Amino acid sequence: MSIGHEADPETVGGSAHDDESDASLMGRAAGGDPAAFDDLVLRWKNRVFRLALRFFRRPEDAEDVTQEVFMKVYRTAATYRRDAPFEHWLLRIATNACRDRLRLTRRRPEEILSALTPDAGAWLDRALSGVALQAQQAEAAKEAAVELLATLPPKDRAVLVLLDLEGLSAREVAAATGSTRAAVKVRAMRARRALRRLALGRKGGGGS
Amino acid sequence: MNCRRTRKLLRRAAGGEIADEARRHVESCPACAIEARAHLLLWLGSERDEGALVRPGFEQRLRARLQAETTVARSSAWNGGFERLVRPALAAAAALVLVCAGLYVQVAAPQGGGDLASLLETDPVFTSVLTVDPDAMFADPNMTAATDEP
Repeated sequence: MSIGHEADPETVGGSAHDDESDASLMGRAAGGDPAAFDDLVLRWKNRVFRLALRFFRRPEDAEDVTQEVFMKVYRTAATYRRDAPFEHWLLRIATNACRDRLRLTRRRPEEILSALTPDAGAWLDRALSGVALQAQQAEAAKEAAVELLATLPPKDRAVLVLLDLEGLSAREVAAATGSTRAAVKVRAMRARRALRRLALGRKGGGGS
Repeated sequence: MNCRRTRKLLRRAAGGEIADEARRHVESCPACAIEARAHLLLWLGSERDEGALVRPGFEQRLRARLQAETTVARSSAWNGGFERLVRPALAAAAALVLVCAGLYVQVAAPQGGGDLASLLETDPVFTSVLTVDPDAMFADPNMTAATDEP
């Protein structure tokens, strides 16, 4: 699974249970051992945080989502089945948390397009055409791209991010989103079509 | 290079950087050019610092949030329990009052006066009503007065 267990600098040598498996730690956490839960947080917090950063530009928002994820892990520790990999379970909770928050902040395309400044639109067009931009222009182009992506349905966006940016397989995305492999493929196709429409909508538009 | 391979490369493009062979194909294929734009849009809007770490003190903040949540859950559980106990208790008390009132009425009523049969026998109002001539009861008093006149 590409969510992969990364050795974060903070976790190296930072825990008394470095060799203990996630499943075993979860078992102890479910039994009310706070140290086991702390170890899990230490292991996975940055992975979840980085996933949240894919959806939320502000680190405060990403951290807030990360906290919500671990609160859910804490509350539902007893429901974790040891036969399923912990990272699948965690990724599912994280994806749902990101999706729920995206749902709250989702905006309508016409709202976004009218809110984009002509400059930001033009820089985004140039960025999408592969033209190198100055730092400030590149930042404005990114902001515009973030705004445009906010118009995608959260579930579609989550599938695209997991497949195309996180490098997960369709089977892994299905496990993370609670659907089937076929459903993930159909959703990805639909999401890519919407993304192409958004990218094309910017082509030639945007003014100066 | 064909479109299928190009799109695969586009999706694998790390940091928005497209491989040279894919770039050459994109320049000559309008459909893949659109695909490249779409992928770049996704990448631009989802870009992150690959080495990003949560701020120090994350565990403490998480613990504080968990404790706050536990406190709220406990107080709402207490309120819920209070509700669950008080409501049935009030209903039971109301039912008890009604039963007591019924018993009191039964006990306080005069002996033999509680049922309709004995009421018919003993109550003067009922007796007078029953003994009166029905014709006289429904007769028009004006008509009676007229026939009495000479």
